[in-house]
Amino acid sequence: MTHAGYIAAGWSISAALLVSYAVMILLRGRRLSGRVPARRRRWMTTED
Amino acid sequence: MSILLGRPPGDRPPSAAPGHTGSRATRILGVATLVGLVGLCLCAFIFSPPDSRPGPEPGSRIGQFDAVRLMYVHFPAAIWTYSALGLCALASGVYLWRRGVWWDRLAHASAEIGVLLCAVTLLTGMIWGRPIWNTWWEWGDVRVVTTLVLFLTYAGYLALRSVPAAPEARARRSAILGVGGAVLIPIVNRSVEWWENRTLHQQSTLEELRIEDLTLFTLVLGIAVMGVFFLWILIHRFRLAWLEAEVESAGLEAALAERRAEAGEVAATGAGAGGTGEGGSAP
Repeated sequence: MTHAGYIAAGWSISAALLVSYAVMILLRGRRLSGRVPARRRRWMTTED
Repeated sequence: MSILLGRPPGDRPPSAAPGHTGSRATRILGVATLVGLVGLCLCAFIFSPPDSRPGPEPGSRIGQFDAVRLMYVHFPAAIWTYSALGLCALASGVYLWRRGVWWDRLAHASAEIGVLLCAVTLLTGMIWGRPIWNTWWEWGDVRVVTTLVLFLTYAGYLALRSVPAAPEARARRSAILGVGGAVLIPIVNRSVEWWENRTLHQQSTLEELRIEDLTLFTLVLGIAVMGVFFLWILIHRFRLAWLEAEVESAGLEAALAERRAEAGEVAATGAGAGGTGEGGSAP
């Protein structure tokens, strides 16, 4: 495969950015959920 | 709207609610993203061929070769950057018209994701440009520079949102920037046609279908997978914005209640002092 280093760098950096952001959003959501009454979190009342 | 915020509270006891921003819709989208990502990796690295065509000299080959595999991230990220920032502009415009906080939070969520995707677009473009154009960055390329301006504009939008202000004032001023910044989206998108002599970028190959079937399929699959991911993270980010606003307003209400309680204590003390005739003339 030609340009393997560039391909690995491009995919790795993109994955790292997107996964880090997603994890940050999910963790922050968990933390803040504890500070808001459940009746104010409308999506929590959807069927799981 | 209900997919973002869920249904209104029903008979279900609040204590049964899980403490996160997920729901059945986000779980379906999350699984679809992971399955799509596996398919995209298989197509991008195993099934799709390198970009290689016969060159002008006999026996020579030209093209991007395996660097084309970077396009399966770069191109979908660019498409969804336009979509996310366009959604931010649309939601900002509706906010200015209707003044609904729902639209303000949607604009905020989509702008943040758009800035992230724009960063991915710029970084993968730089990494792709090094082996193909022999440069990491080209200031003379109108597409590159306008994309950077788009990134900085919406990074400024996010910075503006973090400036302490009354929620209505913050929403109004950021909505104005959100709508104004959208002027850049068609400029970035059409720049290679409008200034074709000032760019290293090629003109659109997707619209004219000048690429091989499997390469085209992988590009479209990349756009679809990135789109499902965008929707999944948008829902989570919207709900997080909702929680942030709830916490902020709860903090304001607590501060107001504290002030009222203090004012009540002061009034009671003053009345008590006035009643005994001690210090009744104090300022």
